Amino acid sequence: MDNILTVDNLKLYYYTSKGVVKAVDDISFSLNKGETLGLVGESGCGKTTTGFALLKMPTPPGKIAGGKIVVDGIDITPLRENEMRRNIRWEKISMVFQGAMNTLTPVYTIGKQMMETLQEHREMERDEARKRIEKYLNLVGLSGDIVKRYPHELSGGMKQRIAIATALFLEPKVIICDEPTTALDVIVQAQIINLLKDLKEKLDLSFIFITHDLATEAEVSDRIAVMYAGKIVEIGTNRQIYGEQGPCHPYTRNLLAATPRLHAKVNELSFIPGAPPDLLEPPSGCRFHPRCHLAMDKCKEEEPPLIEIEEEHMVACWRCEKR
Amino acid sequence: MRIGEMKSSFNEFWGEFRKVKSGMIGLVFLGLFLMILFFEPLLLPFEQANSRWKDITYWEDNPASAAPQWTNFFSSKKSSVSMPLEAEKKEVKNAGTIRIIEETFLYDYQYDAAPSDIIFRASGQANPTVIISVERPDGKKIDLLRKPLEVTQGKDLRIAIDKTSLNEAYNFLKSMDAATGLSKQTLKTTDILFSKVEESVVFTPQALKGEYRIMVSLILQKETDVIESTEMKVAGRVQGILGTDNSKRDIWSGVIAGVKWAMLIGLLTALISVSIGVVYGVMSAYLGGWKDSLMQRIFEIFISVPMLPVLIVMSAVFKPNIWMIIFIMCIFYWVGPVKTVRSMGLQIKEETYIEASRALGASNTRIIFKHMVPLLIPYAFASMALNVPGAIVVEATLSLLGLGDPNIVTWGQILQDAHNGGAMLSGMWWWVVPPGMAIAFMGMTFAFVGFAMDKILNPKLKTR
Amino acid sequence: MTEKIVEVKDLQKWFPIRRSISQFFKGEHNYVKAVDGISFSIKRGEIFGLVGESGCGKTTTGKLIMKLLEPTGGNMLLNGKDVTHIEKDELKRYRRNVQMIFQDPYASMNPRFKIRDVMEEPLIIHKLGEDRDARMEMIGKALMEVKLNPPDEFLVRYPHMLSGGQRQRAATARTLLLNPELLVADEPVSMIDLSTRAEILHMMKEVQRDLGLTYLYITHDLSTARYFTDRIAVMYLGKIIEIGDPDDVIDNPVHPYTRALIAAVCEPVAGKVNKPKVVPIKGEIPSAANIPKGCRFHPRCPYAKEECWEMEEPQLQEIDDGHFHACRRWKEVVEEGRDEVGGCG
Repeated sequence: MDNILTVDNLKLYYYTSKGVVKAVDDISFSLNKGETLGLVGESGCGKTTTGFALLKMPTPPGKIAGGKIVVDGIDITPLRENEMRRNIRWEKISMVFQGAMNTLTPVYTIGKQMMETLQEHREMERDEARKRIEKYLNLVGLSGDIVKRYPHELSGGMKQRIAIATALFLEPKVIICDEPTTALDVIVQAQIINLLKDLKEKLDLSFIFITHDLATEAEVSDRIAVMYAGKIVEIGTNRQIYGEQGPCHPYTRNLLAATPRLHAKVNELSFIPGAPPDLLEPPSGCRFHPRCHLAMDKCKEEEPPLIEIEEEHMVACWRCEKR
Repeated sequence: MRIGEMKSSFNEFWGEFRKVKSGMIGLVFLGLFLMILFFEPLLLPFEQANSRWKDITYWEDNPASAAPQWTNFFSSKKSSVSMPLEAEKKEVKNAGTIRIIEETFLYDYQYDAAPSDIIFRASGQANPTVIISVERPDGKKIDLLRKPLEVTQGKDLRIAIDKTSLNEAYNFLKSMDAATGLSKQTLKTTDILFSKVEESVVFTPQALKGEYRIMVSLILQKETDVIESTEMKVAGRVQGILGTDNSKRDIWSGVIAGVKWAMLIGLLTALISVSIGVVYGVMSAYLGGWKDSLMQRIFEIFISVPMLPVLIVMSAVFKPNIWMIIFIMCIFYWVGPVKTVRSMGLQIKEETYIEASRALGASNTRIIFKHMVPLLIPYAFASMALNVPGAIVVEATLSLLGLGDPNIVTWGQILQDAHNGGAMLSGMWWWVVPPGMAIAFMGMTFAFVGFAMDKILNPKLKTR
Repeated sequence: MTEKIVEVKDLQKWFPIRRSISQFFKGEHNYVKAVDGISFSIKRGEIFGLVGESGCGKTTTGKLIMKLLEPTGGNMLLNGKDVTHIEKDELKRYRRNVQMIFQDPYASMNPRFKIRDVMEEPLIIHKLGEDRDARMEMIGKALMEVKLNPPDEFLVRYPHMLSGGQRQRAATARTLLLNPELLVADEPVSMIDLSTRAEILHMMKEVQRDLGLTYLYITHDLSTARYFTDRIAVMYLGKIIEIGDPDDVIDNPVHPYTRALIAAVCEPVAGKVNKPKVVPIKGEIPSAANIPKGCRFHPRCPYAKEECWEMEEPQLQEIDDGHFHACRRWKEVVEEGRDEVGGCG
C-alpha cells in the first residue's frame, strides 16, 4: 500500500486576541494512492482547517503549530511560502474550495480566468495552455467553448465542474475537496459524485473528501476519518463505518443515527444534546464526554488515544475494545 | 416606552458609552464647547464682539495685524503690549473762565518694539484745545499736538498719535540731524518716539527704554464745556490671546463668539439635512416601483439646481439672516446622503428579517422606521459629522457674497477675511490657524461622538 | 372548523421579464413562470411536505401562501374563505393565522434587536397584550414551549449570541405568539448542524401536537421530508408532478422525475463506493422562462416518447388511494423501471 500523503501529529492553532483556539489538535492519518479518504464532522470540528493545513495555507491568525506533512515523498513541513507556491500547491496537491463555484469573478470569461491560473503556475505557450484547458474541461464533461462564457451564464453544477477542472489541470496527485456538493441540487450532486469517481479512475488520483454529510461520504469515500473538536475520534473503512456492525465511537454512532434515511422508515431520529465545545477551553479528557451518554469518570480525566480495534479501524474511546 | 424604561435604557446606553474611549474624548470636547457657550460673557474681552464685528469704531483702539501677546515668550525682542495708561497726576487749573485740565500719563516702556499707537479718548460735551506732548527718558520733549477739537455726547474725542503726529515726530528727528536721507513716508511715529536717536542713514530703531510721560492739556473755554472722562491707551505691537486682524478686531473674541454660531449652523444644518436625506432615501428604497422613481426624479431636480444663483435671488428678496441661511443650506444639503442611503436601503430591503417582519404583519412605516432607519444611524452620524465643518464653510462663502448675516461673527467669516486680507502671505498665522483649528476640532468632536455611538448601536462590534 | 385548512386551485405566479424588440412589436410577453398552475389542499393538523430542487417553485409557493407575493392566477382558500386577493385589515388578520419559519435563523431576526424586542414585535403590531408585563408573560410562555429555558436568560441576548438551533427555536416561538393555524416552514433545518437537526424537528413536532398546528414543510431534502411529513408533493419547474403518502411516493415512485430524485439521494450505507450512481435523467433544468412544450419534463426524461411532447401537458391522475402523479406513460415507466439497477424501485 502506497502512501501518497501522510500526516503526523498535525496541529493548527488560531492565535486570537481572546486566546489560543486549538482548531486542529494533534491528528495523524495517511492517504493511500488511488483512494478517497473522507474527513467528516460537524461545523467547527476542524475538517476545513485540516484541508488548508495540508496546503500550508492557514487562515490568519492561524498557524501550523506542529507536526509533519509528507506529500508524494516530499516533507513539506519545513518548506517556505515561495517553495510551496512554486512546487507543491497545485503541482502536487490542490483543492476544490467550499463554495468554489462562487469564486469565479463575474467580469472575466471562464477561459481568461483559467488561463490566468495556468500561466501563473507554469510558463506555457498560449496554445499549449489552451489545449490543456480544453482537455480538462472535456474531462469534467463540459464542452471546450464554455471558455467564452461568463460565470453568471452557467449553472451551479457547471461552475463546480470548472472548479474541479481548475484543480486538476496541473496534474497534481492529491485533490482535497471541501464540501464540493453541499450547495448543489440533489441530481447535480449525484452527477458530480459520479464525475469524481470517474476522474479518480481515469487519472489515478487520490482524494480527500471533506463534508459534514455522512450520507455523501458513504457513497464516495473508501476510508473515513471522523473529526470532533479538532481531534480524529475514529478512522475506518467504508464497510467498518457503514456496515452492519456500525462504528464504535459513540459520537460516530450518534451522528449516524441522526442522519435521516431515505429508504428506511425511521420513527425517531436521534440527536445529540448540547453543542460542540468552545475550542478556546476544550473539555478535559475526552472532548466529547459532556455530550456522551456512555461517559465514565475516566473519560473526564484522561484523553483516550487512537487504538486499533481491528485491522484498519482506529478509535479514540475508552469504551471501545478490540473486535 | 414608559419613563422607567427610558431611564433604564438610557443607563444601559450610558454604561456602554463610557467604555468607548473615542466617545468620551468627543464628549469632553463637546463639553468644552458647551462651557465656552455658557461662559461666553466672561471669556470675551470685547463683549459686543458678536453684534459689532463689522463696526470699525468698536475696534479702533486695537493695533492692526498684531500677533498674540504670548508670542513675546518666544522672542528675544519683546514687543510692547496693549495696555491702558495710568494718569500719574491730574490737575484742573482755572484761569478765569478758562479751565485747563492737565493730565500726565506714565508709561514705563521696557520693550524692544514700539507700540503701534497711543490713543487718547475723552468724552463729554466741549470744544477743547488739545495739547499733547511727550517727555522721553533721555530728557527730550516733543510736542505732538496742538489743536482745537470737538467732543460731543454722541461722539467721543479720539486722538491717535501715530496718525496725528507724524510731522512732529519727523521734525524732531530733523532737529536731531537724524533724518538725513529719510522720507516721511517710510517712518512710523511711534517708532521714532520710542527709539534712540542716532545718526544713521538707514533708520534702524533701537528701543529707548525708560519712563515716558505723556502730558495732555485740555483747554476748555466755554462754561458749558464739560469733560466727563479721559483715558489713554497704548495699542501695543502684540495684543490679546490670539492677536488681531488687519481690521483691528480681536481674534480671540471672534473665535469665542463664533462657537455658538458654529454649533448652531453646523449642528442644525447637519442634523436636519441628514435626517431628511436618510428618511427620504430609505422610503425611496423601500417603497420601490413608481414611487421610488418619482422620488428619485424629485431628488434629481433638487440636485441639479445650483445653490449659488438661488441664494443670490433669495438674498435679493429677503434680508439675509442666519435662520434663512440654515433653512437654505438644509434645502440643498438634504440630497447629500440620499443616493448612498438608498442603495443601502435597497440591500437591507432584501434581508430576510425585513421579509419576516412583513410576514408578521408589520406596516411599511414600522419597517422603515424601526428596522431600516436604525441600521443607517451609523452612516447618518458619520454623514453629520462630516457635514458640520462643511456647513460652517458654506456659511462663510455666503458671507463673502454679502448674503451672510451681518449681525453675527462666524469662523467661516474670519477665515474669509483672512483669505481676502492675504493673511498667509503676511505671515499672520494667528488669523488663520485658530478659526481653522476650531472648525477642525468641532468636526472631530462630532466624528468621535458619532463613532462611539456606532460602536454601541451596532451590537456586533461590541467586544463582549 | 373545516377539515381542509388551505386549498389551492391552479395557483400561478408569473414574473414578467424583459422582452426582445421583436416580441415587443408582436405584443408577446416574456415571463418566468415560477409557479405554473398547482392545486393541492392541506388538512388541518397535518404536516404537508413540498419537495423539489432549486428553481422548482416551492419557495415561491410558500411565499404565495404567506401572501408575501400576490398570485397572478388561480385562487387560494383559507378555512373555506377566498383569500386570493386581500388587503390591509383583512391581510393583517390573515397574518395572524398564517406564519413562517425562515431558512436562515440568523438572517430572519434583526441583528440589532435583542431577542426580547424580536419577540415583542408581533405582539405590538397586532396589539396583543395590554401592557409590557402581559406581553412578557406571553413571550415567556412561547419561549418555554420551544424549550428555551429559562426565558429571561435569552431575552436579553442578541441573535448572534445564540446558536443556530437556539435561534430557530426563538424564530419558532415568535410565530407562535400570534396563535397561527398554519405554519409555513421553508427549509427550517438546512442551515443547522446535523446533530441538532433532529432536535429542532422534534421540537416542531411537539409544538404541533401541543397547539394543534398545521405545517407546510418546504425542503429539497427528501430524507428529512420522509421522516417529518404526513403527505408529500414533488414539484418540478412550477408544477406538482407527484403527490401522496411519503412512504408510498418514496418506496413506489411513479413519475420519472421522482424516480430520478430518489435514485440521486445518497444513503449512509456501505458498499456503494465503487459503483457509479445511476440516475435516470438527462441534461440540465431548463429556465422557467422557457418551459418545454407538452410534458415539461420530457427533454430530460429517459422514457419520453412523441406523445410526451406532442400532446398537451398531463394532469395529475390518481393511481392508489391518495397517490397522484402526472405522467402519461406511467405504466411503461413502472414496468421498465423494475428492470433497472435495483435498490430503490
